[in-house]
Amino acid sequence: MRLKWSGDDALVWLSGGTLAVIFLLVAGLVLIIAVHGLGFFWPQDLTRYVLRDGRIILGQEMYHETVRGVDRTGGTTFGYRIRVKTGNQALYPNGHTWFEEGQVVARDAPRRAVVVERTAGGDVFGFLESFVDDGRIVAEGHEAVWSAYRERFPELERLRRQQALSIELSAADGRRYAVPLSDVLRLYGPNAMSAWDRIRHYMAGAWTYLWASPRDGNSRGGVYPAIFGTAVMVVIMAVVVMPFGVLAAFYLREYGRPGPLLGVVRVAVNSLAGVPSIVFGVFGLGFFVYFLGGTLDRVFYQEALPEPTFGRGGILWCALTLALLTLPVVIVAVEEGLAAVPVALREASHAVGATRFETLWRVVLPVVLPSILTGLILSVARAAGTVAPLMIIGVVAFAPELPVDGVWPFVHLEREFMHLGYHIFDTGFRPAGGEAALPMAYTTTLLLLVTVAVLNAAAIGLRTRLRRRYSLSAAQA
Amino acid sequence: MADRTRGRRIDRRRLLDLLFGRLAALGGIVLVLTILSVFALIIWVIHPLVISPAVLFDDWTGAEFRSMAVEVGAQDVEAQQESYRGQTSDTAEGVERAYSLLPLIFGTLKGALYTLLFAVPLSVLAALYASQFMPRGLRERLKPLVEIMAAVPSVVLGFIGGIWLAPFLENHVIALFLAPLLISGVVAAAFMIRHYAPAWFRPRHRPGMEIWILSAAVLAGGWMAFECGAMLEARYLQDGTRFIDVLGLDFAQRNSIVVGMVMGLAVTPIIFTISEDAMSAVPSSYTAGSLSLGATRWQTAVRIVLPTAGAGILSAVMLGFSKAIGETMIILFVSGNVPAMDWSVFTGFRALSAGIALGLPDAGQGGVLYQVMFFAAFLLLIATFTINTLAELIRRRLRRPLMRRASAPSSL
Repeated sequence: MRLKWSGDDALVWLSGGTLAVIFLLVAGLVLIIAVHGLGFFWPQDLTRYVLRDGRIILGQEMYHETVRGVDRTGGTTFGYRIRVKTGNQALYPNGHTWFEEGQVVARDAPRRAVVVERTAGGDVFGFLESFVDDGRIVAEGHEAVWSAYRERFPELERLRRQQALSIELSAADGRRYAVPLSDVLRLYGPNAMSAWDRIRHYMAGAWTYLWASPRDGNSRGGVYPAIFGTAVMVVIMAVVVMPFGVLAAFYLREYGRPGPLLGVVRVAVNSLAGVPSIVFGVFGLGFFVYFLGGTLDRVFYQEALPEPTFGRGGILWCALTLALLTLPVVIVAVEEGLAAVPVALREASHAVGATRFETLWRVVLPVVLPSILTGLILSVARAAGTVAPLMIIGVVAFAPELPVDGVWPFVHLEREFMHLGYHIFDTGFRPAGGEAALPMAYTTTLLLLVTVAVLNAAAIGLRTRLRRRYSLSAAQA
Repeated sequence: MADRTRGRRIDRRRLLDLLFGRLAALGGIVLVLTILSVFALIIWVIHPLVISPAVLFDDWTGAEFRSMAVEVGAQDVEAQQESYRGQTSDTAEGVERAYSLLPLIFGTLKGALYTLLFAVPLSVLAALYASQFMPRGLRERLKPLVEIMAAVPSVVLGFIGGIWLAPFLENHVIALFLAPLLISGVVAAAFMIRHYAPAWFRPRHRPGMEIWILSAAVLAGGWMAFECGAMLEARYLQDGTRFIDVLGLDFAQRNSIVVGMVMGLAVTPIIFTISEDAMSAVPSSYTAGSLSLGATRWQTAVRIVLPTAGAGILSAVMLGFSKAIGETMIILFVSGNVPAMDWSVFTGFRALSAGIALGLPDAGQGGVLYQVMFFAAFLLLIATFTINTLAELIRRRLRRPLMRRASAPSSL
């Protein structure tokens, strides 16, 4: 039967529209992060623009901007402004330039244009002119220089120490520019690349990103130290938080007798879960860094004072602070697991004479282990994504040393470290490398987002499987 | 002999049991001590301020706050502190003014307010739809998505909000205001088409499939909003001026609208989940009774389900508010961090949380700035603690009568 139209169902649809709005907004933002983040490694074509005023510019198009102009009748017109990355910061200030689309007389993609990635100072775009060894021109012309570079490529690391070798390029307008071979990281001609070359280039870029240190004010290179620092901190955090979390959950569900103490502990869990992360940071600074760290310094590192050892931000204090932050996460997950253990199991164990501890150890714990794992995963995901408290207790934009290395005592808990989330904040909020740092920040954002989402999805999947198993066994019982 | 070993073994078992019980209790006590020490430490640091609180609220213009906070490096703090303690010279007054927290408190409230203005209608309506009109299977698949959305690190949201969304919205202000209207219009139109179309045109009805039509309609509405916005600007604005210039208001790229949207997305999962739970917990006897008396689906949802779940929704909104107050990374990226005090949606602000994150690294241990930052943390702690506790109490009060009434028919 069809109900009479009353306008009511339209309101139902409108309320459903809000759900669609929320998810489309989130999906849109994720999509933007993904597109920007994944595009970072793709070798973009070099385009040569000939402008009406006679300028010739070679570069990679960064984006089209809509600009409003005024037409003859006074109305508003829309035009495009093209922003081009020109590289060659010595020749073009800031390394990028822009012009109106209408100014462009001609554009092409010269096959011989190359990109030189340097260790510092950003990329250089141009055409290969000559290969110079100690003032002598060894090779001249695109093909010759390219093969001369190819020949020396396998021993590039060794040649890097020699200052004599250099490659001379010409910019689109003919200006010459020499790049010492010691500065060259990679040389490639994106316009002449086949699809397969591009994929290989992309993979190499992604590999570098994961395993290299950043350079040029965190705008190029990789984020390996940040990944490593985050991982080490999370491991320390997990080692600290898991025993306490599991014990507290056992107390709340198994051992605690109903009474004031149990109530107080329950209130403590709830209020701990509600404390803003930045307040944990403030507490970490006051308690761990200045109080505990200061005391440690006075007792064990007297000779180093007044230079603080533990009395300043470091990876240990960050890990401990995050352990406090994630404690409720672990407790809630383990408690949920404990609550799902069928009463019949416990009663059976008690009935054959087991004590509470024996029941817990032999019967309950094996059933609850997956829930503990869920708690671990969730706390790790939470810790990996939390940045605010770390900003005040020991995360830095660039740390010269890793927290774990080959120097005695191998694990340096007092060191400041790099963190993926802070890397995003630092490059996005106050980029040392200017706007050029943003593409890499997008990639790092994507990396962090995917990591956290995958961890959470894993935890949710684990929990769902568990619930299904319990409901099944409960039904059988 | 046999008896003795058996007795001892039982003793050892009992002892182990007892020990582990104590150990577990220790875990609980550590927890309690943690939260107590958070309070204790912060109060201990700020107690000199509480004794002479004038420094916090003396002058609330606050314009100098930022510059002072930056200037007060570690080495300056000692000197500043001395002049502050002297409290006689002119510089002391300057320092006092610099530490006013009022703009920060104001900023926190402003940010939370606009966040709720964006998030509450969206997430409560979405929760109503999900709990009342969505087929169960689809709803079960929705929940993990919401949970993952809740887990998105705030630095990610803040980054995309500050770097991409803020510049984007700057160029599409008209579209932003058109969007709610046009989206509702297109959704309503989609409904009309489906409702009045001849039977052969209508696709076969599967429960829950309307969410896909809805998504398409929302996308279309959003796209239309941007097109219309651009068209209107082109038609009515002369000489290339922007809409925001015509309004003659102060406009900052990182403004409260962007904060409301991005932080709104961050608190939406909380409000959605808790209010959805509350609405789903409304006994089906209520809705069944209402429907059988001839009320429509929508009337039942709005007049029966919403009031019954009211306390749960209130507590959801309160928890969202508390999360918005404590949020740091999004505020840092999106609010602009300027200590201005006005309610305009087009200007930024500086919140307590962001103030701490930016100010504390520059504060030397024990200095005035250090104490003021701890005081800001104290305010956040007290506020969130109070709100969360209240929300929890409200939620419990709701649950009790519902359970009683729900169980009553079965006992008949």
